[in-house]
Order: sequence, then structure tokens, then C-alpha cells
Amino acid sequence: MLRVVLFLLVILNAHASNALPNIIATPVELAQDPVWAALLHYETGYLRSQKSAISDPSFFYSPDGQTDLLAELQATVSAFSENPLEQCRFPARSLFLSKHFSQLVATVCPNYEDYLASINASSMSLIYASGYLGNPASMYGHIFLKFNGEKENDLLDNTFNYGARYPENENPFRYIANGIFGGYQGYFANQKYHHQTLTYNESELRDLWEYELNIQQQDVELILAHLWELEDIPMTYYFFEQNCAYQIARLLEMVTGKKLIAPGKVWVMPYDVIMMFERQEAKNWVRNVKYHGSRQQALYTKYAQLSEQEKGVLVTIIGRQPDEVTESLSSISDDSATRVIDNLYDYYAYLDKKNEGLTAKQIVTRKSAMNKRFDLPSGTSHFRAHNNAPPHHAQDTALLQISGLYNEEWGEGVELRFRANYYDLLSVNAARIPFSELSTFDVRALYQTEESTLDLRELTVLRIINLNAATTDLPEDSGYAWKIAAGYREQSITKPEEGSLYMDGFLGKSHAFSPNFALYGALSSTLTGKNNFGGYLAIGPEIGGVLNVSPNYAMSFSLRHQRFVNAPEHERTTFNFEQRFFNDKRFDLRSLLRYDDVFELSMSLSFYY
Amino acid sequence: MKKHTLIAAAIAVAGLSSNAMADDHMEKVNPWKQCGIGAMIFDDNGTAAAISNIIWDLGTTALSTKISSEESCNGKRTKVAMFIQDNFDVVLEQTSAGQGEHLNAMLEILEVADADKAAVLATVRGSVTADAQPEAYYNTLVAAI
Repeated sequence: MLRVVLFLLVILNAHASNALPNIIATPVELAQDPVWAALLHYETGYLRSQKSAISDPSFFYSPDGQTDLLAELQATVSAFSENPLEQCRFPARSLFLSKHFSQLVATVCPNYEDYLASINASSMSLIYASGYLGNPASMYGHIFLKFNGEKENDLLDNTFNYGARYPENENPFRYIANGIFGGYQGYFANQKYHHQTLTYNESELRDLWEYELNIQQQDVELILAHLWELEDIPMTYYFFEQNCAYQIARLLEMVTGKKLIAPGKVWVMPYDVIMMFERQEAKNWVRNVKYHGSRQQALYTKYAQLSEQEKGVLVTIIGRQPDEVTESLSSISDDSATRVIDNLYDYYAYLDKKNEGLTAKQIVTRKSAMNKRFDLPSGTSHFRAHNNAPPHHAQDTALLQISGLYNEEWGEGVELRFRANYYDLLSVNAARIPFSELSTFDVRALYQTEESTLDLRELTVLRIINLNAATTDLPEDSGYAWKIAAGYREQSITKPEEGSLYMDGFLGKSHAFSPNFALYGALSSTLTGKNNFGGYLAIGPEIGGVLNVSPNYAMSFSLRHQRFVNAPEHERTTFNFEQRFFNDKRFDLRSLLRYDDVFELSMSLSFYY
Repeated sequence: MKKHTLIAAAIAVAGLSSNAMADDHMEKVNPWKQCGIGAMIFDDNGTAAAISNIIWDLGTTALSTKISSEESCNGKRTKVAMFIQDNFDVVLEQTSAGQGEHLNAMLEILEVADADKAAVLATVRGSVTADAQPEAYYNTLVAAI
């Protein structure tokens, strides 16, 4: 009872309470504590003062709780002292306050204790899911938290995700607009890890990297306690800022005390949070990095290790009738047969997702192989693990570039370029989709030295290239190579001052001759807003390729010949050859040779952040 | 459909995991029929709001007490039934090989002692074929324990 009285004294004498001997900190001081602000999700906007991102009144005790940290602190203490069971609603607040108020009345919260017991976490991991070009919301990757049980199987660990909820059968345009401009509410959600591996590794064929964090048990519990508080509490979701990466970073900042949101950017990306852990003192917070590859990667890893004979048998099984599986396998040892069948499982699992189902013949062949596998000795086949570079080895995502160039038509110039994100074919692309590009908001401005003019050369809103290169000789192991780009750019390198809106694309096929070399051939098309060259829509063949010669040197090229649909007598041939030198997260040196009626050569110094 | 499957699975697990085991009733429970796994998995009934690709499902394994169900559906056997249903392709592949991480997780849910795991897996491996369906597989597994 005495404790409660003292507690109330703290509230009634908030500004003078530091005189009390058994109070470790005053409410005024506590209200300014970053952890308290984080627990209430306070944010400072560009044009407004501090305010909570949560507007649900049930999250606050004070009517002014959304805008007044001290008022909410006092109201919380008051509520906890009047009814200690209120701490069961907000166990993270209780943990925080109990560190500073010796009078806090301990209470038992059976439901909350059950929750902690069911998660039984001894450590915590940050999981990064690689990008997925099949859905705009997933292109930039994803992160979530995994709480690692002391003894249990990894697959039974609990995870917490943050994402937006949206109605079933949402219109795609509304989906994009609402996602970007805050039309959806975001929530944290809890799920077993095996659901995540099913979703990412198996269904979307995405790789996962697990960063086991060096975080104290009490901090793990603080995060779990706060996630308990956030059940069904919505926050406005913004795709480019208040997204999964932002919310997870905020949670981790609360316990690490380190900035995990990349500075100098008005957007937050999952990859940037990973990068921030690799910078400065935050690096010490990562204990271990583990790779969990997709089914597609498992197929490629195992296939590359099959002997030529085993590969031949695998191709034979895929091509022949299902009832000939046993006969096909009879020519090799039991050990080889298990390797072939295990690779066949990966192949059909991959096709099942890629083609949205297997054919009747494929289903029966898979069953025949599986029945044969049941007859073979027990035990998994042996393959070496794939040594895939983790995402923090990749280049940073925002680009500033300065180029000196010479153009046959108009002479010398200097070009400045800014690309908001993310990567291109020649970037140091660890943990990204092989032979792909994802660029947003790419701006180039050109200063012509002789003319002393400044022109906007390009403002590409979005450019995506995915070569989808086949890496095995197995049937159907390739998708379409495709590209789409849109924005504004010069119509020709001969006249940088004449620009127009444009859309570019191609559709074709590609092949990866090794993990470092791919070629493609495609039908390309270009739509322009002006017809200075004879037409608006041009189509024609395009070939190109990417070669990573060494970590320090990579090159790409493309050759395109197009004719205008409405004026076939007009044609254009363009050629690009680009090289990247050095292997560093923060900079590189590039050269670009372009041909478009005339030649242009540039040398560029790039900075990434 | 797949998304709904996982959403339904998540809801089911949510309702199943928050209470103590009901061992007395377990032997009589058929999770597919009495706990509605089949209906949740195969009916596109839109019981849950669709969630973005980023979240995937309502996922309230440890938190939710909002989904009511029979007490007998709260046990480890229903949880393992859900696990088998969701991950069946991988479970069957690993069963044909005789070992694997999913099999270990499956036996862990059922709290099979380490010393007994190899024998249980050998029994299951000797009893199922590539034609097995999740419910039949589950019955074989339960019988092997």
C-alpha cells in the first residue's frame, strides 16, 4: 500500500519527484527517454512536431497520449498503480518503468506468460528475403524477425512480420496507389518459421539470409513484450517509408540504441537495414549469418554437382515415360540414384511453382521416382552447400555519379547522375536475382562544355530487366527474358536537348553459360512521345549479355536494330558497351561506349550510399 | 488459393496453440474432420481478410485467443496435422529419403523422444508410398508412435 501511495506521489509531483529517494528517474526525464518514445511509436515529421504513428485510442491511457509523451507516461503509471493487472496489457511499458520506478507493483499475467513460454526465445534473428520481381510489393526484398527457441527445431521457431492488409481482389492500380500513399493499415503478425520457408523458399523461390543478432535476453523479451502490445494495433503503411524495414529497424533501434535507418534517404529499404548493421559499431550486433536457399537454388546447386552420367540419367527420366523411371535408374549405383532422385524432386518443385502446376506426366513421373526412392536405402544424398554471398556484401543502393564524356556530334561534356535505387546489371549484386536490374528514379543531367548548356538527359521512373537465364540444360528451366522501362529521355545522343516521354521493353530468351556469363536475344520495342525519327513505335531484334570476369571487373553489352511501325523506311541501330571496375560497396569506376548514329564515350566515378 | 490455404492454416494454428494440450481427447480426434482442417485448406471461403504479399497471413500463432475451437483441437496432434498439410510435398520427399529437417520438426511437435524417432520414421517410411495423402500419412504417423 505504501508503494502505491508513493507511486501516486510521483504522479502528483511529477516535476519535483526527483527529491524522492527511492525513485531512480523523474517522469520528465523518463518521458524523454528514447525507449519510451519508441514504445509509443513517436515520430518527428518533416513539417510537424513529435507524434505517435498510432492513432488507435485504445493504445493510450491519456487523451493526449498521441502527442504528449509525459502525459501518457503519467497516465500509464497511474493506471498501473490503480490496477496492476493493466501491466498485462502493456508488458513492455511495465518492463521499462520497472527499471526506473522501484515502486512498481509486480503482477502475474498468465496469458502473457503463456505467450512468452510458447515462443521460448533465447535469441533473435533478422531474416532478409531476397527480392522477387513477380510482385511490385516484393521487388525490394523483405525483412522480418525470428525468435530462436533454445532447443527446438528452427522450423518451429516463431517469426514476426510487418505488412499492410488490403481487401481481397484489390484493383491493381488502387493497390499501388494505396500502398504508396498510405491507404492501407499495417500490422505485425506472428507465424511459425516453417510458414515463412514455405512462402519464400518453396512458393516464391526466394532465398533467405538469417542474421543472428547479438542481443541480450532481456532485450529480446522487451521486443516480444512490445509485439504483444501491438496485437491488432494498426499503423498507416507507406510502401517507401513506413514499411516492414522501417518498423523492424525501429524495434531493433529500441534495444541496440543504434541508428538502423540509412541516413540521407527519404525512403527505407530492407536491404539498407542489413547494410546499417554492417556499419560502424552496429557490426558487433551480428553474431552469425546463415543462408537458407530457395528450391530453385537447391536445384542449381545439386545439378552442378551431378556427374555427367547422373545428369544424363536425370534428363532421360524427365524425357521418357513414367513407367521407365526404374529402368533409367538401373544403370547407376544406389548412391547415384538417390542423388538423381533428390535433384528430380527439386526440379519438379521448381517447375510446379514456375508453371503454376505440373503436367499429368510430370506428376506420375515424380511419383514413380519417389516410389523408387522408398525402395532405396534410407539417408539423404550428399551435396556440398552452396556458397552464396550474403546481401551485406552487395553494393549500396543509392547512386551519385559524375562522368566526363566525349560525343562525336557535339564534343565534350560533364554528366551528373542520381539514381534513388537499386541496382543494375553491373552492380556488385550479392544476394540479388542473377542478371537482373531494378532501377527507380534515375536522373541524368548533361553540361555541354562547348555550348555551355545544361540539359535533362534522362529521368527514368522505373527500369526492370530480368534475363531469367537458364542455368541448366534441363527442359523448361528458363523463363522469358524481359525488360520494361518508362520515363523521359533524350531522343538521340546527337541532340540531348530534344527529349520526350518513352517506354522501352523487350521479350525474349536467355541462357547462362556459367554463374558469371549470360546472353540474351529478344524482340524489343520503343514507344516515344515525339516522332522526330519518323515514328512513335519502333520494334526490332536486340541481343546482349553480361559477363562478370572477376569480382573487380564486369561488362555488359546490347545491340538493337529497330524500324518504326508507321514508317518502316526509318530505322535505328543502337549499341551500348559498359564496363565496371573495382569491387567495393561504396564506389566504382565505369566506362560506357554508346553508338546511336554517332559514338559517345564516357568515364564515370560512382558513389553508393 | 494457396494464400488462402496458408491464411486458413494460420488461423487454425492460432486457435490450436494457445491452450494446454487436451491429451484425454486426442486419441479420438480426426483433425481433418473434427477440427475443420480439410474445409479450411480446400474451401476458398474467404474467412480471412487478404493480406499483402509482405505479411501473407493473419499469423497469430502465439498471440491470438480470438479463434474458438473444440478443446480437443488444441493439441499437438492437430498441430502436426496442420504441419503435414502445409508442408506435405517436402514431408513426403523427406520420408522417402528417411530423414530431413521437416521430419525432425514433425516429430518434435509430437514430442517423440529422441531414442524413438528413428524407429517411428522407419515405420512410417515402410508404410506409405508416393500416393499417400496428408490425412492418410497423418494416420500412419500417429499409429507408429
